Amino acid sequence: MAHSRHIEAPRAPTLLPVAVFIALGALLPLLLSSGFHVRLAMLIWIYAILCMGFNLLYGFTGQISLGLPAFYAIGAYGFGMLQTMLGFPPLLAFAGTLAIVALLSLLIGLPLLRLRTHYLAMATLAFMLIQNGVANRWIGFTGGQSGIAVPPLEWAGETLGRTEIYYVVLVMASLTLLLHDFLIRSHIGRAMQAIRDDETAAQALGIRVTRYKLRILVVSGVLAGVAGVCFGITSLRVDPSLSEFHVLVSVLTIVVMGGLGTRFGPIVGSVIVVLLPQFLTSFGAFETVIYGVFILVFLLFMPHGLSGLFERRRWSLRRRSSPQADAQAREMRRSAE
Amino acid sequence: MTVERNSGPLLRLENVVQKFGGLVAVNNVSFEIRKGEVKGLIGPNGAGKSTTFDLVTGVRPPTSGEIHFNGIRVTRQPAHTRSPMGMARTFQIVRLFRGLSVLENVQMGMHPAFPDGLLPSILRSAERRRQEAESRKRAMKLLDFVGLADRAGERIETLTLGQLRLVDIARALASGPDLLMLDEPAAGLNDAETRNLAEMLALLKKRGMSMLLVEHDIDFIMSACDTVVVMDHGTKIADGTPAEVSRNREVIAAYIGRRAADVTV
Repeated sequence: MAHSRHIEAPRAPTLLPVAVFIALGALLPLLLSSGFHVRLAMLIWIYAILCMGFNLLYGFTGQISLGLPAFYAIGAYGFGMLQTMLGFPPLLAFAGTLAIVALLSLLIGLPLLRLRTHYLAMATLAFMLIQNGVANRWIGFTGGQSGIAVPPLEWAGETLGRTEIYYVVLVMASLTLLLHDFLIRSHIGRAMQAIRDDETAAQALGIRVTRYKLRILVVSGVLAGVAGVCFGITSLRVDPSLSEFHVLVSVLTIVVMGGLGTRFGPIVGSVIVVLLPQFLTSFGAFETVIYGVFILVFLLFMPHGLSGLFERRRWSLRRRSSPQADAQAREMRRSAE
Repeated sequence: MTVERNSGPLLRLENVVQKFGGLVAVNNVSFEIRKGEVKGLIGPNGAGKSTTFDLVTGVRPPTSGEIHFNGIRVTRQPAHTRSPMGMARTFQIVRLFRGLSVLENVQMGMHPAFPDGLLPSILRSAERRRQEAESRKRAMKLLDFVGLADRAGERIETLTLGQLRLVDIARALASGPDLLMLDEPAAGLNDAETRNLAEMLALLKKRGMSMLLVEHDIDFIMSACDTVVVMDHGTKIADGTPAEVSRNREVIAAYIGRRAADVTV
């Protein structure tokens, strides 16, 4: 193959857009005047963390866990309860919470991931119903309907203000974004997509399919836990509504609108899903209808979501090769001998 | 171990049997592939070639019998262990990864060479970046070899069937295999594509690549292979050079019919 022709490999994506998203996030509090807006911004990042986990698992690896809201809720409950009941300091409570969600994901995934996808979907959904039932009914432990209080974060004896808490959430979201991005741009990301597209071929290429699925399930559970902790420190209260169906619907809407299996779909989707209802309130009774129509339009006309629109464009712009190019390549091989 | 590796055949099947309930799909089949040999596996529909191929590639373990590769017993080793050992395969139905670019599909062939752990994979050390760059370069070379370097950044769905087969071969070659196993590589190709494929396999053979070729196209296999195993009704009926095999009474009978065999011989 020692011929003179040099075709360079297409460029690999860079970290630049990730830096842009984080920088925008860091500047945001300077632009927002009211506390309500800062709260919305925090909610966007929290949903983005939750949905990046879902994106890794479903968008990239092709495994559906419908029980993600349960891990989200356990993250928030765990972080509060480890502090109030066992007296853990916040950092230790954070680590302990993540250990709990990781362990639970592992226990659920171990028996299920050898089976095909819908078993995982059903079993995790059942897990969510159980978790929600416990949160609602075991009043002595979880506080029932009214939930539990999460101690406010403190620094040097003083309670953190809203903007400071925003930055804590932003740091979590940035770390998640970096993890999400490094994973999908590494050979692991390629292997995940290989598993999603064709398990048999993935196996034949030496990929340990079940092991990868299990790892990503745990990662998605842990990220849901991180999102839950962030929810806890922003709202200072956790109740069973965290693992109700509307959260699952939001997660699905975000990944579909943002773009399944894209680098920035979860963030773009979160911005839309959190902000859109704010703009639609002026439509009064029609709010839900318009919201639903929006989702339908996205499904019909943008199957790869908003983020996919930009990320996939470069593929279609490449020129196609001609019969001459094929013949040329054959000639080249012959002369290479 | 090294002595055994160097002296013995690359692949050895010993009395391999595969039963599906009452049906014996593969009945006591034995054959060997030496280093540098291109072995064809042919037979009429339902002869058991695809099942034999599945056993060799580890899709399922045989009911009985043994399979050795490079002197190591691989009979019951699962499919994912074969690529790191030096066995690479292609698929009859194209099984490329739709979500990945052409280049990334070829890079997947090198997956076992990358570290397995999540943390070492995402912490982009200098070593990891070097490995990734190396892998891209190697994948480009392989795409260049199959004549598709200019399509490296495209998505799989923009390629023709003939081109998809070539990407599949490039992906299999990416693991640096000792044995390349091709499952009906010429199926569905037009004449020009088939000629292109035959040229490429001849070039690989010239470079010393050992191959196992399952094929329907008799002309293709007779010109491409050093030796041919013929199967019929799950049993091996002939094993030899294309010239020997094509004179074999049983082979003619299996392909054309008993009476024709009597007339010809």
